[in-house]
Amino acid sequence: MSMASNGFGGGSAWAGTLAWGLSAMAGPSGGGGGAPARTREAERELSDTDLVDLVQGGDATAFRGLVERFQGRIYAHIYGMIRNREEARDLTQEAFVKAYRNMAGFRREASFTTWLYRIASNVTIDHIRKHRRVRMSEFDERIGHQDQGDEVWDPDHLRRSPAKDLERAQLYGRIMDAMQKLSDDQRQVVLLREIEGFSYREIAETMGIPEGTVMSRLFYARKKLQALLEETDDPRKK
Amino acid sequence: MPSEPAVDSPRPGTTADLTPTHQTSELLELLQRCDRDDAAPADLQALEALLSEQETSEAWCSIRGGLQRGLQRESDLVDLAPDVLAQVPVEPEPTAQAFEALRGGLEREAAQADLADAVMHFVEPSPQPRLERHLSALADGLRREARLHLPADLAGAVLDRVEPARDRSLEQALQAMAHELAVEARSVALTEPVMDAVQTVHAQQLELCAMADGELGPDARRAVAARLADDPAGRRAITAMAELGRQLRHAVAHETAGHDLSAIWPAVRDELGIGEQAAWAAVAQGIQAEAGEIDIADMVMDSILPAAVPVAASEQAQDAVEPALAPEPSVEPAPRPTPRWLRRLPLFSFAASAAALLFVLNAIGPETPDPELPTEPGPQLAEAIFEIADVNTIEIEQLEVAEDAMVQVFQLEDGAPMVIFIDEGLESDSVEG
Repeated sequence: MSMASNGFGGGSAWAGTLAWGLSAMAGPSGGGGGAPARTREAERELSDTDLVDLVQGGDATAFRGLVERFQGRIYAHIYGMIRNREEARDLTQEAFVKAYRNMAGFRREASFTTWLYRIASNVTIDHIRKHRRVRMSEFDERIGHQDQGDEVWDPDHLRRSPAKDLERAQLYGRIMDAMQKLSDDQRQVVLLREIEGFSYREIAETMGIPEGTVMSRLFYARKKLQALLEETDDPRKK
Repeated sequence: MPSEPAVDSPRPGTTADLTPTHQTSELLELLQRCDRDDAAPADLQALEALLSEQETSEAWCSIRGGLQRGLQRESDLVDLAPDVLAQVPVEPEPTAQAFEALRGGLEREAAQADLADAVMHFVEPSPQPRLERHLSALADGLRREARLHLPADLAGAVLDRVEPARDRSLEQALQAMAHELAVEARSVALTEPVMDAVQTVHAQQLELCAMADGELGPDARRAVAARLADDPAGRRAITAMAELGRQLRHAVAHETAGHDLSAIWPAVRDELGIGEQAAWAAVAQGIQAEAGEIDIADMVMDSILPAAVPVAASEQAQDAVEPALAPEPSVEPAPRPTPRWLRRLPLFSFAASAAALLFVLNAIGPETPDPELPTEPGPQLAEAIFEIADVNTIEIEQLEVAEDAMVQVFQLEDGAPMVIFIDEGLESDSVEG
């Protein structure tokens, strides 16, 4: 429902003002006018492609729909990479800002999702490299060389345990701790696969690496993750 | 790569006019000669002269430059491998070729590699004048880098070979590096499509990974499943992989639950100067002007003005204008996105008890057709007939599936999650009856 129809009177002048105000939300192409008054609900009905079309056509407000649609996923991905709430939020914002500024260069050779994740990944990796807070993959001799053979991390104990919040929280904390011990590339590939459910092809597009490399990285990342969790399950292995 | 004899080519040792390539080739020729014990005294002098100049040679500058450029890129040593390996022979060959290949590969590919910190740490400040020491520094860097970035198996293989060799002679170290990179890294730095990669050293383990991720085609999946029937360790591994993914999803959701993301859009909007705030201010001004004329100012302005200026308040006002809009949920414990193969899953339910089973069904009429015969068009959904592997039993209460679908169901461990693969639209001759 637009404000012009709210019955406050002076409809034409209101409508004109509203139209002017909304048209001030100019898009990246500088088109300026013509951005329709569109509710969030209406935006949710639009596909990613529709919203991208609108943004590329100069309707900057449509970008809100893309931000609100993807921010949770992008945030979760970035958070999984750096495990810091404030920085993850800042980097999420930065990713969207970069995406918007580069929207004209998005040529749909990949899906918008993988394109956006690629930007988010680059922003995150750049951040990590600048700050080096997370030391990349400190090589652990025990993990690296032990023959893991048939040993796999067995989460049975969790299934058998009572579902206590504390215990779950501890387990999740250990999992996230272990994630931070993976290399950036390994962590990224695991998050894209397990959290986002990307296919190997989508991960390859996002990370700019061959599909085969995706598979091998994923394999080694999981193997290492299992070893780390197994180690924390049984501290005697430390 | 032997240097071409030229009428005016300077004698060995006077390298000032030679290109880096010539220098390197000549150097390696001399090294080979020394290695064969057939170097003349003049050769040794020339070798000494060449080695002493390596510190400033353009070749090394080039390598260093490439490595420095690599700092700016994202790839890692695994990504470096394919193109380097394209030049590095699988079998150890004479030192000259091995080194040329390694050098060439590094020069070409370092820009895309993240040999970065470790290598540069050793190479950059290395003041030693002799090539051996440069290479030794490079080897140290590679070793360190391998420890950091290479998958454990590959790192172990490379290091096991390089470690003892590098102390014996330069040539052996180079050959060892080239050989191990060629043989081992080729299987890890996979450039081929997924299924080609599966043919490598880690084929079975990688297959399990691809299987768990639903990345194998029907035939490969069937083959892996058949193998798993006799491979309890493999079954445990794939089950654990799936469980690990599930727990990871919960962990991320658990840690991000309640994180407030509502500030993201306003921050993005402000950063980009998308004038929503200004627009609402303009709306408020318009309202104020208009409301003043018709004298409903107080009431209208009480409800409108607070929303016009502060960002957060303007969002609330906008939401009031746009009713029935739920706030953006913070990161909810997100269910795993449904893989494509499951998205079109027809309605079915079943109860199963099995330790490991594979069955393949072809949803057809009451009889299983000859797979050689073309499939007759049938109803959209049909009663399914199951062909179940002997190893286990399963009870299916009801299953409806599209005419041309092939369904594979795996439950690898007792109590483990059931994995269902559905391939739709297969040609009839690719459907196993």
